[in-house]
Amino acid sequence: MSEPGKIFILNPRENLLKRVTEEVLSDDKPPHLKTILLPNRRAGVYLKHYMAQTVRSTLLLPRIIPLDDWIVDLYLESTAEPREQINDFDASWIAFEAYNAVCKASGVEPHRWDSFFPWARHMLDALNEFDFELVDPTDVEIDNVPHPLMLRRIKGLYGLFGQILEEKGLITKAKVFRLVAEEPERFLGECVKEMGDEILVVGFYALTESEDRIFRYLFEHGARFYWHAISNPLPRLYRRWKENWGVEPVDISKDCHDSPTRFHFFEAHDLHSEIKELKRRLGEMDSPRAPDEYCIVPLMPTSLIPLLYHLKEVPANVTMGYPLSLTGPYRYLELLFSIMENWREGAFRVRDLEELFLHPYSGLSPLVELLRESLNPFFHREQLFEMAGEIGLKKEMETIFRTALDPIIEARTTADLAEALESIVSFVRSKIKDPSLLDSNPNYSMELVALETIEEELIPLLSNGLFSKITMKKSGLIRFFREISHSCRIALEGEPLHGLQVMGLLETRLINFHTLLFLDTNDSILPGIEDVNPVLPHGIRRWVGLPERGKEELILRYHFERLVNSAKEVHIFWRRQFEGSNRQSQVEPTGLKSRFVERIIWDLEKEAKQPVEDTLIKRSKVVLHASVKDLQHLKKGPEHIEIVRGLMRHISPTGIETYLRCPRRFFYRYVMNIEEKKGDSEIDYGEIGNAVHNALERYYRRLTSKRKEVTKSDLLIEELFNCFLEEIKGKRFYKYISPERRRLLERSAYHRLNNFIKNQPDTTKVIALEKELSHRIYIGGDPALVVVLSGRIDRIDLRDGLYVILDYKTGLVDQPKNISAELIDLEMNEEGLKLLYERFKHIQLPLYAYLFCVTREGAPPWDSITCAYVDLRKSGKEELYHNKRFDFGRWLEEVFPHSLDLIFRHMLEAPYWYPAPDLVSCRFCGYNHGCFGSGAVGS
Amino acid sequence: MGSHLVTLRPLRDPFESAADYRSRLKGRLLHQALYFARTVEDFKRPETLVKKAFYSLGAHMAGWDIEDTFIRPLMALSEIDEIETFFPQVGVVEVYREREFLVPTSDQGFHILRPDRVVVYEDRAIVVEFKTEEKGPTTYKKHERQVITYHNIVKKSFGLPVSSYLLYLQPPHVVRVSSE
Repeated sequence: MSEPGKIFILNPRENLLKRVTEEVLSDDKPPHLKTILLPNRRAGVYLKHYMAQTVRSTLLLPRIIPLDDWIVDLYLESTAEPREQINDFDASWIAFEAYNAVCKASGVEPHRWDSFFPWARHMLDALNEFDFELVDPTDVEIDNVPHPLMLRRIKGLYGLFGQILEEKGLITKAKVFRLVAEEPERFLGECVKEMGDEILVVGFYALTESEDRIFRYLFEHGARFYWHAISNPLPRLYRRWKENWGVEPVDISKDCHDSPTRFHFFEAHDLHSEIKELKRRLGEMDSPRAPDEYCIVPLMPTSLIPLLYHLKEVPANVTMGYPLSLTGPYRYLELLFSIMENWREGAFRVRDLEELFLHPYSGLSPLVELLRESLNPFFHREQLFEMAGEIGLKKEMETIFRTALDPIIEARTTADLAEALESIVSFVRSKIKDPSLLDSNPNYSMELVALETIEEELIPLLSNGLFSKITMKKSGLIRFFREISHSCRIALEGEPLHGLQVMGLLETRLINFHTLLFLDTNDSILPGIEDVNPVLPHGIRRWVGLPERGKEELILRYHFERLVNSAKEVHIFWRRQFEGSNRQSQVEPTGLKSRFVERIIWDLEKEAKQPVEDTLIKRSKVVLHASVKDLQHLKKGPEHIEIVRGLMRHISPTGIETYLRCPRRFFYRYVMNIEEKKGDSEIDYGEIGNAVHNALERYYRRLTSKRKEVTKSDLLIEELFNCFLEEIKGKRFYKYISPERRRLLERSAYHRLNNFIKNQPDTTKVIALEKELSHRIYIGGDPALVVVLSGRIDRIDLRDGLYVILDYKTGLVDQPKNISAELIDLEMNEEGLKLLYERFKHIQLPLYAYLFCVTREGAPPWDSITCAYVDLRKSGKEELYHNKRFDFGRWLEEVFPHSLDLIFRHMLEAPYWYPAPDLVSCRFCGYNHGCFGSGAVGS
Repeated sequence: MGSHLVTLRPLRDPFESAADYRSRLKGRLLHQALYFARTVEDFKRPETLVKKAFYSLGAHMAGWDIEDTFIRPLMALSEIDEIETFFPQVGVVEVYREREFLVPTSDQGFHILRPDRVVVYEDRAIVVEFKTEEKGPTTYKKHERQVITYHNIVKKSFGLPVSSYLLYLQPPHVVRVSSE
């Protein structure tokens, strides 16, 4: 029996890999007789680097190998007839088969692969965990609580899963670990027989039960273990390890009198300000002389490409798992699949085609204009070929169909899909051959790395999978492809080792750097949100025999703190906000710094015995909303007044209403001339309103071309609706909406126009349509202060001697409640604005009525005027602006001009651009995000 | 992004054809099968070696003519005279399979050499480099240079007389390489 091994512990301030190098090279036995087990590959590259630095001559290296590879190797070496180790997707298929067998035995309808696949993945995770944790699951039976079948039969499912694997001569990685852990003598005996003490296990932290069992066997046979942590207090999982094994680690740290780690914090407002600052700081540093000098750790993979763009003049190695789904070639595949998703009855959606043709791989951009001009929302392939032929691109169009679209259209199985991908990859490669599409050195292009991953990993998975011949629905096939692709990572490994390092956090394990620069250290990124397996939610795990979760955060905390403590200089960046959604995570990152960073700051504050936030944390200086946020009110300057006076020379009711509803919005739109952000809706409601107005005008002009009298029976819905259709078909948005939405829009328009007809008076005399009027007034009677009021009245009717001013409303009609007949006076301030807003927020109709009266030849018809909105949105009824008994004419003649005077004086004299008096206005305002007004998002 | 200063990972020839890629993969699989071979006996029933090669590389056997591409070339090796020396059953001190030799470079870096098989006896060492491609005038020069490099490194590392060989699988034959 050999002597048990030892556990050595080294303070992270000291370089563990250098220390292991020293131990290996200074030992009595030659290095090549040793085996060094590491948790990852990158640490091995650094170990070799330190060995090269130390020996400076040729050296037969020890066997330096990641644990996973070593275990697989042992299994294959020690088994006469090994089983094939399968990937997670094939193993999910076996889990699916096992579960369907369980369902059948329980009288439950079996599942379909294309819909059950995501569940099979979760189920596999659970089955793997049983093996890694050496657990024999037990069925879950809790009284009076209904459970899914999966949990009630989990023992049988696990057994059946193993049985099918064995029958087919297959094995999973988790089962290999279990096998080795349960029979260590068989698999590890030969290794430890003569050289147990020549095995060095370096830098492991969190162990599964099977790893623990394997390590304990190695330890009992003399293996040396190295921990990289402070010994007091030990990180939690080392504490547990120490207690479980009952071993006292030997601290091999030398007395370290180094200066403590220096921290620099930076709060950026977005990714680009993070990278800009990082670049500035790098610019102040010397060029890297050694690969352990500088390391950037981007915690979000989406930051990598913008970062590399800025690093292009600095030698850099990138080492991390980069999601395939973020690469250009994948996005192209995604585009092709979206086209297939929207493919209906052999027709392609124009919006998808536009995107496809504009893509640089397709090279069909000249077709886009033709597509748009055709006004068709959908196209058949024959039409596309014909159109491409017109401009000499027929061959290119045929290539796209032959190599990309048709293979996907025809795919029924994942094997078909693999063939389609092969064809598409070959097409994309042929495009990349064109040097104009790539920069000077294609060998290192992310596009090529992505294509290689698709060819070498994704395509074999799809073509050789156990499920590859299963016929799937189109939607299922596309969903399956997305699931598989989203789990695909491109293994970036920057070699040969040189320059600045860019690494994922887990790739930095065991390595010490002089200077670290962390990007995106926001909470919910570091640590991320823990994935909960829906098959084994919290609380259920112990029922099936598994330990509770919660290790992920401890593991990340250890790696982060070890890395940070190993460096001399640490720059930590985080963002105040995130744009768009993060496709890699279900949860939107927060604008808060990580709790791990908070902990560092707290420790610094304890040491300094005072807050350090203001002194240590720098913040980005570009604050887009600061100038507005800091001022409660925007000051109205003389240059603004000048612009307003210019505007008053042709002011519409909309302009006046905008001011009354929100002077700030008026300021942005009319004074600053900033375009207001439109909604993201697929349907342009403004354009629908225009189409309705135009249709009504055309229809009434036709009706009244011979006689002005219009009776209700003259109004025919089909004719009016046809006018509407002719109008709407000319609108741009209409071409791009789906047929379903278009049908819905048309039906809704028909219904509303029909309501309109039903609510028209039996007889009316239409005296004007879309009548443009304008009138000049002088503020306070001052001839220097001219206002030209102008407006366009939808319709003017004459009914029983009463002029009726009509305004069609396709949007919300917010009826004025009471009109005050009193003359008012007010201060030119915020209170005054509120008063004006209460009384005149609906100024359009009375203004039209006023314009009609004052521009009429002869005496103004004050006694025979009224006005009404026509509610085209719902009822189709005419809604009078005022109560029937209210003396509208007198009010219009006496009160209204005075009120107009007050409004224009307020526009010129009030000292500030006040925010909206009513918060509701902010909800529909396009300046909402940047404004910080009363009810704005940022306030 | 595309600057050569930024290394993402060593890439294969971006314009390598599918046939070339498959040929390269075949070479890797044969090398891996030879990695798992311990004695000459293993070549008499090489099915297990082939399986282990596929399994260890995570490759799929579907789509390959296993018999023609792998089994026969490996079985043929048992007929070669020198094979017993390369895969001895007894008398060997140590065998290093694809073990890495570290060679520091003048720019503070290093590169790694990985001879396919180094067999160390008490009084001598043997370097064997497997070649799955056919021997041609230009390829042979390249192979010869490679083995001479290994020869010198092994000689320096073990301080023993070294003999070095190229083991061609198609057709199966051995070429002794002289370091002189």
